[in-house]
Amino acid sequence: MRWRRWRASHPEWWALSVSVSAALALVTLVTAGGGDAGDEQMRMSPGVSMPSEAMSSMTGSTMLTSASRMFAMFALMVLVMMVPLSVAAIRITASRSLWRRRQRSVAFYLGGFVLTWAVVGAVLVAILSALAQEHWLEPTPGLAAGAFTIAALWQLTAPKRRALSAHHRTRPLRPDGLGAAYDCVSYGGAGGLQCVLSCGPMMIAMALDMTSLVVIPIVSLVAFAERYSFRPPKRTTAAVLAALAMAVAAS
Amino acid sequence: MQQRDMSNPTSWKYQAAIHGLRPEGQKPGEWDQCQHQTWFFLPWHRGYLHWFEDIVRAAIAELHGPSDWALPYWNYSDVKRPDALVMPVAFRDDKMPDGTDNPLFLDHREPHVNAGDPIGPADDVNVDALDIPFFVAQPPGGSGGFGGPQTGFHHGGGRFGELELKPHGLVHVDIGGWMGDPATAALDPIFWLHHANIDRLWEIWRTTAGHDNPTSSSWLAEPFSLHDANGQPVTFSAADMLDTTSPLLSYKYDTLTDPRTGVPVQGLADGVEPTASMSDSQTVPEMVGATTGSIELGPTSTSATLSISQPSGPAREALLTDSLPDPKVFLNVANVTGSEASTNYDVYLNLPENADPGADRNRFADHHVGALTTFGVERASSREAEHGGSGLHMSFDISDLVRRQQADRTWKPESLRVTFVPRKTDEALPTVKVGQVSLHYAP
Repeated sequence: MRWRRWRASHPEWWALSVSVSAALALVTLVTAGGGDAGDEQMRMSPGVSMPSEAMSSMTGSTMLTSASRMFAMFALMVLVMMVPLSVAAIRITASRSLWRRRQRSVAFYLGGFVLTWAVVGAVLVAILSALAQEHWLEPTPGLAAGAFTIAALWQLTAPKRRALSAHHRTRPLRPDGLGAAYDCVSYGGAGGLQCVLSCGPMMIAMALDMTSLVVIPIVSLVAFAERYSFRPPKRTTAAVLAALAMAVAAS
Repeated sequence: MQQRDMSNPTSWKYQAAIHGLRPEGQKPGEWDQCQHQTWFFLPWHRGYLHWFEDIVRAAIAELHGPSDWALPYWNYSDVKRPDALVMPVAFRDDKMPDGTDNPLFLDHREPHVNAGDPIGPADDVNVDALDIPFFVAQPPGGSGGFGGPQTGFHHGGGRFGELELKPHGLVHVDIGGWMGDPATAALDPIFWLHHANIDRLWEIWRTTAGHDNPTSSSWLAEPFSLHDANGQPVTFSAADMLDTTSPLLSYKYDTLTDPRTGVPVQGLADGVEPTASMSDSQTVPEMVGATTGSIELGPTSTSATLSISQPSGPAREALLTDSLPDPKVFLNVANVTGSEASTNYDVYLNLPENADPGADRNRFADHHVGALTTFGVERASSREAEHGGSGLHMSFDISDLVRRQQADRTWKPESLRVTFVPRKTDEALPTVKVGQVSLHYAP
């Protein structure tokens, strides 16, 4: 009875469970050196930050495997870091749904949210892979440091502030039928888009530097602090990201 | 104070800008701080009143006035005074006895207010919020609580607490002019008497047996900044605002009687701890029906219909279990957006066909849900405002109304008709949009 009441009060429970599971998978993937014991190249660098010589020496299928792995890690990062930022929206979605379709509505919301990030991740991975294959991209610490610097500067811009603010918005959701499903997916998609605009630069920087798990909680803290502050401490969050840029450059 | 330069923290305009100003976002941390649609509404405004009173008292003393001057309150809900709803005459006369301009007068207000008519219907100053036993709002769909929803520092937009909705928000819009918008409200001298009364109502609620303020550190410790009579910055939190007789606040209301009855509130005996919970977060309201499109409100009555289904969650359990009380029923009006707070709207449920409640409100009292206030709608609708863009949300407890309509068979779950009746019928009335109307059972 108590468990049932708790679940009813916290409709986000299973979304957060997914986040925790994704965190475990991410840790496993990173600490296992890419998850493929036979793949020396992947063990050198579990994310995209592998030497360009290694990248260029890959066969087409290896490159595809690498891109898949990059995408998988990006997707896991989104589940770990971005889904918990949507708790308020999930609760609103649940409260505006008929009881019998409450969890379905949450699933539709998360579907729209994650799908938006997935599209961004797929495009990002495709671009990075193509650039690396053509030797136009040197995945050095300097590149990741540059990305963190851009993320730090992005914190101070007006579009960033607007996107962050927009992520708090609610909207009416139709109660039943296909319209309800559409509204929930659309609400999730809009939330995902604002989340991409707000947190995209820091997530791209993360994608370029997956060598240290320490970065994930730090960037997550930055995202949480600004998501749940009325006047987000933009100078502080920018300073944290700038410090990360320096740390990555020095590594 | 009104003659002082705006850069002076003790000037009238600076003090008003602390509450809000246009354009928004100037001097963050000093201006644009008013707390609305949040559980900080009451403690923040108490601090705001306290240091404003401090500044005015110092100015009065400088002019050789009484050094113990205190801010008065306007008890518009006092049932024993027939003219309680009429704005005090000191604020309505445009001239002082010596023929000079009255600094308390503003011609921006609604004409009927300055003319000495009641500011609005008596129901607008109803204080039934005093009966709500919990301070913090229930989860979305349920009661806004006496003191509002739990948030962080929150400048506006979202759900009203019950006292903040009525009488607070309705009175703001009834008076109109600068009072109708949080960005300008504190420029009108009557603002301070209105809020002093809201503060007194909080004290009445708090001293009533069974009521208690939140004890959570996230409520008690959130810091706010203002200026004292010397123009020096001061910081405070809700924890500093709990006891009006503390050395910091040092005031006591002359009377803490319930305005509805004139009877002093029944407090707790010495040493007895409150028994009611400060929040009711365990309640899980269940949505049973909602409108499927937005509703545009104009200068004439506008209706929308919704059908409701049988509850299938916690509310069903409460309905089927004899030992549990029947769930409360709430009508929620969500995502109310607009460009200007020009009027309040009366909300009715299942009005008879061709009924015209605008002509005779009392005749349709059994269908009256409450009044929708548009106070703060501009800021809440602005996509540029922090946390803006979603509009305002309010919930109305219609449990008694539903029981009455079920008894007289006017309750039709398959087709509930909600009607919004504007208080003004000007053709130029700015459009207000209601995003959704929904019905929730809260067991």
